[in-house]
Amino acid sequence: MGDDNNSVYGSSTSSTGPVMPRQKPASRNRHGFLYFRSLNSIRNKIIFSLLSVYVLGSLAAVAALYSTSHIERKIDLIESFYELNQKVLETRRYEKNYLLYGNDVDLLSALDYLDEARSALDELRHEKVFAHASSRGVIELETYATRLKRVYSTRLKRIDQPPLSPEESARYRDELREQGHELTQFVLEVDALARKGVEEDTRRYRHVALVILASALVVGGVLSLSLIRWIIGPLEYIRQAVAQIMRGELTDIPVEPVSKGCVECADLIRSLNMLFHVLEDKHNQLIQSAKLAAVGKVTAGIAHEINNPLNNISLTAEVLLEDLPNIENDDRMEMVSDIVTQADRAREVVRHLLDFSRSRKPSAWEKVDLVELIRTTQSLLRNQLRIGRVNVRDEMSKYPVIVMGNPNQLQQVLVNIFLNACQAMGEEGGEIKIIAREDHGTGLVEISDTGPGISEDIRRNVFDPFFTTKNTGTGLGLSLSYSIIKEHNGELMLSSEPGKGTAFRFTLPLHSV
Amino acid sequence: MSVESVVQTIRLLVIDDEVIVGKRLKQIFDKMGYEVEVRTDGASAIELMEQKKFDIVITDLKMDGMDGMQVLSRVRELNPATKVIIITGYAQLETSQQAFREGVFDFIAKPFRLDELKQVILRAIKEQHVPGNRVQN
Repeated sequence: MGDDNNSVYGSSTSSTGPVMPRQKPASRNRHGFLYFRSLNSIRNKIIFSLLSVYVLGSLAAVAALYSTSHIERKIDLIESFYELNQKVLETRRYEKNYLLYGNDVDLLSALDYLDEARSALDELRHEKVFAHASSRGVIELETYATRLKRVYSTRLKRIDQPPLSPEESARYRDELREQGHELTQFVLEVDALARKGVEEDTRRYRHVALVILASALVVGGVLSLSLIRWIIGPLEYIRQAVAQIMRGELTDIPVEPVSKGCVECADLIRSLNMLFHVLEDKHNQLIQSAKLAAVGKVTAGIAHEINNPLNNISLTAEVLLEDLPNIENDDRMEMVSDIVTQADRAREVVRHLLDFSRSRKPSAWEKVDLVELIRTTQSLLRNQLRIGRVNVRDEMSKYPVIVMGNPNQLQQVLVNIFLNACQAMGEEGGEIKIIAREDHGTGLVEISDTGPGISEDIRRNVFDPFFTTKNTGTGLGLSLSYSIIKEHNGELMLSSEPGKGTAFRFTLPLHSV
Repeated sequence: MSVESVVQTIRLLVIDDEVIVGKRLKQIFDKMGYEVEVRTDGASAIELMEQKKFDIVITDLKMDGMDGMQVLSRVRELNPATKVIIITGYAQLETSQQAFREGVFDFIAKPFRLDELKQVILRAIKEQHVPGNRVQN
C-alpha cells in the first residue's frame, strides 16, 4: 500500500487517546459533553433515561407519602366526628330522660356531654375544610345549650317566681326538642360530609396513583424502545457494514448515518475503518512476502533460464571475436541475429520475473485472460518444471477466458498451485494437466498433478495459514491463494485421491461485456 | 591459441538442447581440426555413440527426456575411455559432486568462456593416453 496510509497510522499511534483521523472529532466530542441536552451519544441517552426514571420514581414516592399522610389525617378527622356524634347522642339521650322524668342529674349530665361535644367541635374547627360547617355547628350547639338551660331555668324559677303557664313550658320543651333535632341533624350532615370528603380524597389519590402508573408505563415504554433503537440501530448498521466488508467489498464504513445519534458508534466505526486498513495492509504484505518466497523457490529455474541465453550470447560473441575475418558474411549475419534473439529471450525471462515479483495495488483490477496468464506463468516456471521433470499437458481453451481481477495476484495463485504440484510429484516428476475454459458463466481453471495425492485429514488443513507438510515452506501459499480467489468472488477447491494425484480447481466470474 | 598441432583427429560429441551451443562449438572445433558431431537430445546422442566412438562428450545437464547424468552413465558403460564434460546453467554443488562421483571429467557452469572449455578439452586429450593423440603445446 502507499506511503500515505502508513503516515496516517504512524501519526495516529503517536497521539494519545482515541484516534480519529480525517475529521475533527475532538471538538465534536466536547460539544456532546458540554451540551448534555443534545442526545448525540449512547452515554447521554442512558443518563437521560435513567434521570427520567429517577424523576418519575421520585414523583411517585412523594405522591404516595403525601396521600398517606393526608388519609391518615382524614382518619383522625373521622374519629373526631365519631366523638362529636357520640357526645351529641349522649346529650340528646339525657335530654330526653330529663324531659321525661324531670331528673336534674340527667340535665347536668346532658350539659356535661354538651361541653364535651363542644370541645370535640372545637378540634374540628381547626380543619380548614370543616371551618364553615363547624361554625354552623357552634351556632347550633350554642342555641341548643341556651334552650336546654332555658328549660332548666324555668324549672328553677318555679320556686320564687310564678310558675310558667303549662303552655309556655310546653313551648320551651318543644323548642328544645326541635333544636336537639336540628343538632342531631347537623352532626349527621357533617358526618356524611366528612365521609364523602374522605372518599373523594381517596379516589383522587387513586387517580394520582393511576396517572403516575400510566405515565411510568408510557415514559418507560417509550424510553425502552428509544434506547433499543438508539443502541441496537447503530450496532445493526455496523454489523451490516462489517458483513458487507466480509463479503469482499472493502470500503470505509460511512460515519454519517450514526454520527448524530451515537458518538460512540462513530468512534467505533472510525476505529474499525482504521483496523480494516491496517488488516488490508498486513494482508497485502503477507501476500507479497509469500510471493517473494515463491520467487525464491523458482530462482534456480530462473537462473538456468537466464544462463542459457547468456551463454549463447557470450559463446557467439567469442566465436565472432576469435575468427571474424574468416567467417562468411551469411554466418556473421546469423550469429549477430542469434545474439539479438538470445538477448530478447533473457530480457523476457527477467520481465516475467519482475512482473511476478512486483506488488501491484490490490485495487488495480483489469481484464485478465486466464489462458494467457497461465501461459505466462508456465513460461516463468518453464525451467522449474523441466528441472522437476514435469510434463505439461495443455487442455486449455483456444479462446480467451476473460475475468476481472488483479493479474499479479491471480498469477501468484497459479504459481503456488504449480509449485505445489511440482513438489508433490517429487524427484521422479510427472504430469501436470491444465484445463482452462468457460464453464456455466464462470472462468474455470483446473490444474491436476500425478503426485501421491493428499490424504483426507491433510486435505482439511490445506488452506489453513501456516499449514505445511514440507520442511521448507511457509505454509502460506495455498491459504493466500484461497483468500485471493475469495477476494475475486471466486471459489478455490481441492480434490484428491491418494495414489492418483491432486487437482486444484478455481472458478472466477466471467467479465461480462 | 596453440591447439592446431593435432596428429590424429579427435572426435567430439556435443549434446545440448540449446541449438546455438552446438552450432558455435561445431563452428569453432571444426576449424581446430576436430571431428565434431552435434545432438540436441540425449537419446539420439546415445544412439550415435552406440555406432561410433568419441574421445570427448560435451553434454548439457538438464534436457528433456534423457538428461546429462543419464548420458554420462551410458557413456561409462559404452566406452569408459571417453571423457565426459558437463556444461550446465543449473549448477549446484550437489549435482557437480554427484557428477564427479559418477566419473565426469569436468563440470563447467554456463555461461562459460570459450577458453575455459578449450583448456578442459586439452586436458582431456592429454589424459587420453592414446599414443599419437598427445598434443604438444
